[in-house]
Amino acid sequence: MSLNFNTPDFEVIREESRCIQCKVCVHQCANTVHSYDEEDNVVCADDTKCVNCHRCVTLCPTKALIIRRHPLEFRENSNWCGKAIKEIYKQSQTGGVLLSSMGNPEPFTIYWDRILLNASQVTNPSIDPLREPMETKVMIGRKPEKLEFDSDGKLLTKMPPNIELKIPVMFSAMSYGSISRNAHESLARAAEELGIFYNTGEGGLNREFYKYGKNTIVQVASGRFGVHKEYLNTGAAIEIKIGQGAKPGIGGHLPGKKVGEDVSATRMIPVGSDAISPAPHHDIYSIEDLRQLIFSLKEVTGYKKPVFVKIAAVHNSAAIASGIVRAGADAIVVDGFRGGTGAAPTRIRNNVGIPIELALAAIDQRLREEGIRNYCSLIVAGSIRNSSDVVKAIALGADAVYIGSAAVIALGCHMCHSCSTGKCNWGIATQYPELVKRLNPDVMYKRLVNLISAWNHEIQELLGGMGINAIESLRGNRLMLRGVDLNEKELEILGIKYAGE
Amino acid sequence: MRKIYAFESKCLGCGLCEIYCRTAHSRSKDIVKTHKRESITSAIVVEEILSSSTISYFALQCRHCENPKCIKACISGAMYKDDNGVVRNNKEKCVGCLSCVLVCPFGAIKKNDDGKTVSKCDLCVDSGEPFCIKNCPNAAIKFLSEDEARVLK
Amino acid sequence: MKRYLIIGNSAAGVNAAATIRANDKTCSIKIISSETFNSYGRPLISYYLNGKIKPENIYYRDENFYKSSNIEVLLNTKVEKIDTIKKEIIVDLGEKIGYDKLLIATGSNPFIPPIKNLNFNRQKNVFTFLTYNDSIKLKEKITKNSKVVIAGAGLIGLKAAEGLFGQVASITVIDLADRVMASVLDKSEADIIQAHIEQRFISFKLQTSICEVQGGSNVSGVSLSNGETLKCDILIIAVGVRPNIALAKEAGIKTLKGIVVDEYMQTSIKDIYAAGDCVEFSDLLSDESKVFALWSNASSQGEVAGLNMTKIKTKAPKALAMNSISFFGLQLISAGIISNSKSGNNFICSVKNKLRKLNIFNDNLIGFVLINDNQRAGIYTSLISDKTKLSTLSYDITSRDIGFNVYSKDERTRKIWDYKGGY
Repeated sequence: MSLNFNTPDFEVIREESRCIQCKVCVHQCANTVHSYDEEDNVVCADDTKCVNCHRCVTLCPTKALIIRRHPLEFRENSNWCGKAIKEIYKQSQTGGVLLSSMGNPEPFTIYWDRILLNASQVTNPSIDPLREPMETKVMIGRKPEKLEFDSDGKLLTKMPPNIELKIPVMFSAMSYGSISRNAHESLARAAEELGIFYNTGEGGLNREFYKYGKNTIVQVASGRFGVHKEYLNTGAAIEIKIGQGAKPGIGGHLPGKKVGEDVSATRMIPVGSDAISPAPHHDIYSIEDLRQLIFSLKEVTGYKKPVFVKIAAVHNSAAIASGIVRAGADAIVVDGFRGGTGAAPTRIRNNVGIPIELALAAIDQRLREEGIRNYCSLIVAGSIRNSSDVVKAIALGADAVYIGSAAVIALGCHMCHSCSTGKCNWGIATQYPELVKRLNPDVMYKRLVNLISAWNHEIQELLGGMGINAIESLRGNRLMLRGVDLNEKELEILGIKYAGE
Repeated sequence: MRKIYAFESKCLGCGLCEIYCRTAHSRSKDIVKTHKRESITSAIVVEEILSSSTISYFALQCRHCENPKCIKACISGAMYKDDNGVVRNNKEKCVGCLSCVLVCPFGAIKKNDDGKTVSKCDLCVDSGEPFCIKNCPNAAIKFLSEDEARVLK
Repeated sequence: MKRYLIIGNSAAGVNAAATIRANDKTCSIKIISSETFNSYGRPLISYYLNGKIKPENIYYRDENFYKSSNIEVLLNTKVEKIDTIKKEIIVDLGEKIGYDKLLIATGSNPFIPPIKNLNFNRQKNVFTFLTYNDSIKLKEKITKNSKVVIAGAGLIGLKAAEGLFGQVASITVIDLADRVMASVLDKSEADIIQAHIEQRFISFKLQTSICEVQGGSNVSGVSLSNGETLKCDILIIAVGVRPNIALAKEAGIKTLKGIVVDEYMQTSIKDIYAAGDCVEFSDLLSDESKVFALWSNASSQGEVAGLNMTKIKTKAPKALAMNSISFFGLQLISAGIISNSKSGNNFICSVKNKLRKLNIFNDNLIGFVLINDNQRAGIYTSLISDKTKLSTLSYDITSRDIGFNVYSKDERTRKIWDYKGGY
C-alpha cells in the first residue's frame, strides 16, 4: 500500500538558465533532495525530502536555487491550519510521538520585544564607550554577605569560588553527541578567546578538550554520562542539570546510531547503545537530596568550583529557586520554554514551561524578598537572540545569560528544525564524519568570537546610553525598563512600569 | 614561494574549487557563461577516498616542483618556470602532445577539452590570490609558503 | 673565464647551455649546430608539415633566449674533428675553437638502408624526416597529386604520414614487421592504431620491404619483396635512426652503440661530456646500456651534463623508455616494458577505441600502454620509476582508474609536501 498523505513542506526552485549542472547541491544534500539525471543533463529535486536548511542555496556557485514554502494549500481554517492537519497525517501513519528540534516555535508573546530600555537625556549624562572605560565583566558564584579586612586592609573574609566572565554571555549546554565534535571545538576555542565559558552538556568531555578546561562548565545530568572525578576537576564550574527549557519534566535520548567510538568513550557507554537520560535524577527527590549532590560535587572538587543548578522555567520556579539557593548552589540556571533542543516531543516542546522573562523576574524578586539573592548568581537561557535581550535580562535581574540557538546559528545552523534526523548538513547536529567535516573549527570559532564581540560592543553602547558604565550597575535595575502592549498582571510580574509612567 | 596545499581533514569534495578554477581561466570570468559557453578544463583534480572506514576527499593541483619533470619532457618549449618559480604552460606553444602528462607524478596536468593543449595550475598568478583558495567553503585549501606548510603538515 | 663548447643545438645542447649559464654567469658558452635554424621542437616538424602550428611556434626557446643568456650559436656549421689533446675542435671552414669543457650532443642520424638503386643524396624526391629542414623541403615538394610511399611504420614514419594527410593523393606505409610501431607496441595495441590511421585512407603494406627503387634522379616507384610494385613520386625513408657517434669515435672517445658515458655524463675522456640521443645509457628496468631517442631524456641529460660541467656533481637517473604521441586524435601513451613476450603479467582493459594495458611483474609495474585513456598517466610512470611495490598501495591498480589516492595518506602527504621533482 503506498497511500501517503504527507505533502512537501518546501519547494526547490532551480533557475535553469543559471544551473551549470556542477552537482555541488547533489553532493552537499545529506537528505538526497538533489539528483543528477545523466540522460537529460539536468539536476532534479525531490521536494518531499527538503528541510530548507539552505546548504545547497549557500553553496550553489551560480545562486541558481531558491527554496520557498510549498505553495500547495490545504482547505484550512483558523482552527485546522495546515500544520495541525499535517501532524495528524503523520501520526496516523506512523503511530509515533511527534519529534521536533530547536525551540518552541509557537506564537506566544515574546516579552523581550515588549520591554523597552531607557536612555539618559540632560541629567545623568550618557557615556560614550569608545572614549570611557566600560565594564562588562561579571563574577558568577556566591557573594559573601560582608567583607572583613584587618588593620592593614588585607581581606579576612574567605571568598567563595567564583568564575569570571569577560562578557556576561556563555554558550549553553549542548552535549558532544547532540552536536558534533567540530561544533564543540568551535565553542571551546571561542570561549577561550572571549574569556567566557562553554558547557559540555550531559555527554561528558572528550579528553582532547581538557585543554579548554578553564573555560569549560562540566555538566552532571540524570544519566551521569561521562562523569568522573577528573572530569569534574577539569571544568571551571559544575552544572547539575535538573531540567531543560525545551522539554521540562522529561529526560533525553541519544539514539544508539549516534554513539560512535568517540561518543562512546566520552560518555562511558558501549558503542551503539542508546544513551537514555532519565526524566528525574533518581537520587534527587527533595531539596535535601539536591543539597547532598551539590556538596558531594563540592567535596570531590575541594570546594574550589562553583556548582550551578539548572532548571526549566516552570510554574513555581521562584519557590524552586529559593530551595536551590538554600541547598547550597552557587548559581541557578533557568531555561525558558523557548530554549532549543536536538530533539524533544513536539507536544512537550510547544506546551510545557513558561517564558523566561516572567520566570526570571519572579525568581529575582523572590530571592531579593527572602534576602538570599547574593547567595547565588542567576543565569538565564531560552532564546536570547541579541544583545538587547541580554541587556534586558540583566536589568530584570540576571547575572549572565546562556546562548545555545544563537551560537549554533553563528556556526551555520539555518534553523531547519531537523537536528533529530542526525543528518545536519552544516556539520553541527550530526555525527557522520563526512558531515562533521563541513564545520571547520578554524573558521567557525571565529564567527562565534565575532558574534559575541559584536554583542559586547552593543551592550556597551546600550549601557552607555543609560549612563551606566558597568554591567554590575544594571543588574536588577528594572527602572531602566518599561513595558508596552502588556497587561497589568504582566507588568506586575516583570516588576516594570508601563511606558510613559 | 607560496603553493596550494589541500587538507584532507577539511575537504568536502564539493568540487567548487574546480568550478572557480575554470571560471578563473575563462574568457568571461563569469561562472554561468564559463560553464555554458566555454570549454575549459579545471587544473584541479578532486579525488575521493572511499573505504569502509573513511570517506574523504582532497583537491590536488600542480606542486610547482623545484625541478619539474614536465618542463624537461615538453617537446615544444611551452612548459616553463617563471621568475617566481611558478611552472606555467604557454598555450600558444603547447601542442597537446601530453608528454608532460606522462611524467607528472601527481597526475596534475590534464588534457584540455579542446584536445589541443593541456591545463595545469598557474596559481592564478595573473589575478592575485588563487580562485580555488578564495572560494573554498571550508578553508580546506590554503596558500602557504613551504615554511608555513611544514608546520601544518 | 671558462670556455664551454656544445656540439648540438637541440634538447640536450640547449638545456645544458641554459644550466651552465644559470650556474656560471661569466663563462663563455658556444653552441655549434649543423642545422639552419635555431633550436626547435624536433617532434613538431610533423605539426609544421600539416600547418597545425605557426612556423614561429616551432622554436623551442624564444628569440631572446640565446641573446639574453649570452650564448653564442654558430648555425650551419659542421664539426670536422675534435682534438682532445689541444682541447679544440675544427669546424668545416677550418676554424679552430678551443674549449675547457665540451659537450657532445649530436643526436642521431636517419638510417638509410641499402636498397638497390637507392641513392639518397642524388635522388631529389627521396626524403628523410628528422629535421625542420627535412619538413620544409618535403612541404615544398608535395602536391595534391603526390603519391607518397613511406618506408617504415615506426613513430617517425607514421608522424610523417599524419603530417602529409590531406595534402597528397595517396600515402602508403611499408614495414617489414607485422604491425605498426613494432619496436614499441604489441600487436593488439598496434592494430588499434593502424585501424585508426587506415580510416584516413592511408594504406599499409606490412611484412614486406622495399627491395628496389625505380627511376633515376627522381624515384618513380618501388618494388617490394612480396613482388608488388608501387608507383610513387615521393619516397620517405623512416626506418630508424642511429646515434651520431662518428665524431666522438674518431676522437678516440669510447663508443659502443652510442657514446659511452658515466652517470655524470662524462665520456671516457676528461672534460668531454655527452648527452641525449647520441649516448647509450643504463635502462632503469633492465640495467642494460641502451640508446634512448627520447626528448625528455635528452633534456634531462643535458641539464645533468651542464651541472657536472660546472662542477655541481649530479648523477643522471637511469633512463625509462616512454612515448606520448597522437595520430589523428588517437592518443597513445606508453612507458617501460610493454611487450607481451617479455616477462610479466599483462592486464588489459579495452573498450572501443580505448585501451589500458598494465604490465606487472613481481609486484612492480614495469610498463603500460594507454590509448585514449591518458588522464593521470604520470602516476603510472612514477610507480615504474620509483619501483613502488604494488602491494603497498591502497588498491589494486588494475581494478580501476589510477588516482593519487592510490597512495596511503602518509605517502600522499609526504609527496605533496616534499616532492621536488627530478631529472
